[in-house]
Formats: sequence, structure tokens, C-alpha cells
Amino acid sequence: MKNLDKINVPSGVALLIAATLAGGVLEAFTRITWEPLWLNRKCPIPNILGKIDTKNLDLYERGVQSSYKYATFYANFAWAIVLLFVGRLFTGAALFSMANLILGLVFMLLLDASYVQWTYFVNYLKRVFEKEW
Amino acid sequence: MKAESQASSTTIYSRVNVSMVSLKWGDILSTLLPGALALLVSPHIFHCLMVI
Repeated sequence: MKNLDKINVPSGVALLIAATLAGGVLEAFTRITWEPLWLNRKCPIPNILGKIDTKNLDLYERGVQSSYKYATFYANFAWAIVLLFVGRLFTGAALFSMANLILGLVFMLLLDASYVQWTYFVNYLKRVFEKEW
Repeated sequence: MKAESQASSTTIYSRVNVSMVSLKWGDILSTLLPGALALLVSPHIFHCLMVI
């Protein structure tokens, strides 16, 4: 990581794959904890999978890409911030410092943004498929 | 009768334009960017855990 200018194409591809796998682990954590234990309890998602057909599939996909993916992005980034915080502690940084305070604020902001984006997704699903409710 | 049997034997194919392997911007955003940050800090954590 210290010699980023010496990274060639194969090692760049390897880094991309490693970053994707690490992101997959964060995503898995979001799926098994944040989503069912907080988001779905605070704002339950309607079960509209049975209403999806070839006519409204694009609308569903649009909701996933424009809202749901952002909800997971914010949550995944929040867990990465936690890792950054833990990494800083391991390297000897002081627990109560301005940088850690900023990391804590960013963490709260990201989780709140994830919840807001989740409510957008749920409202989108309800409004798009409300004719079929 | 003939038209009826023809209609009953006609198979309608409907294509679903969604693939599980399609890579979209949302996938890159939600997985790759947080993963890159995690990857950046993970050597520090692993190194310290090995020492412990």
C-alpha cells in the first residue's frame, strides 16, 4: 500500500478483487445484522415480490439501484469506518482525539443516511405497486 | 378446431432482462468502495492481531 505507484495491472486487478471480497464481507454483515435487526424493524418492507412481472420489473430494478443500493452503501461504509477506527486504535492512536470524534460523527451520519435511504426505498415500493395492493 | 389446437400448442416466451451477474454502478458503489477502505486498514488490524 505504501508503493501505489509501483502497482501493475495484475496486482491492480488482484486489489480490485480483494476490495470486492472485503466489500462482500461488509455487505454480508449488513444483510444479517443492520437490515433485519434495525431497518426492517423500524420501517418494514412490503412483500411485493409476488407482484413483480415483466411489466414492472424495470421499476423495481430502478428502486433497488437508486435507493436500496445507497442504503447498503452507507451501511457498508459505516462498518468500514469502524474498521478504520479499530485500526487506528491498534496503531496506538489515542481513544479520545479529534480524529476519532470525527470518525464517530461520520459513522452516525452514515447509519442515519442508510436508514433514510431505506425509508425512500420502502416508500418507493409502496407507491409504485400501490395499485396492486 | 384446428386454430384452437394451434393456439393451445403455442408457447409464449417472455424474456426477463435481469441477470444475477450484471454489474451496475450501485453494486460498485455499495460493495467495492467500502471494501477498498476496509482493505486499506485491514493490514494494520491483522498485523496487530498477529502480535497479540
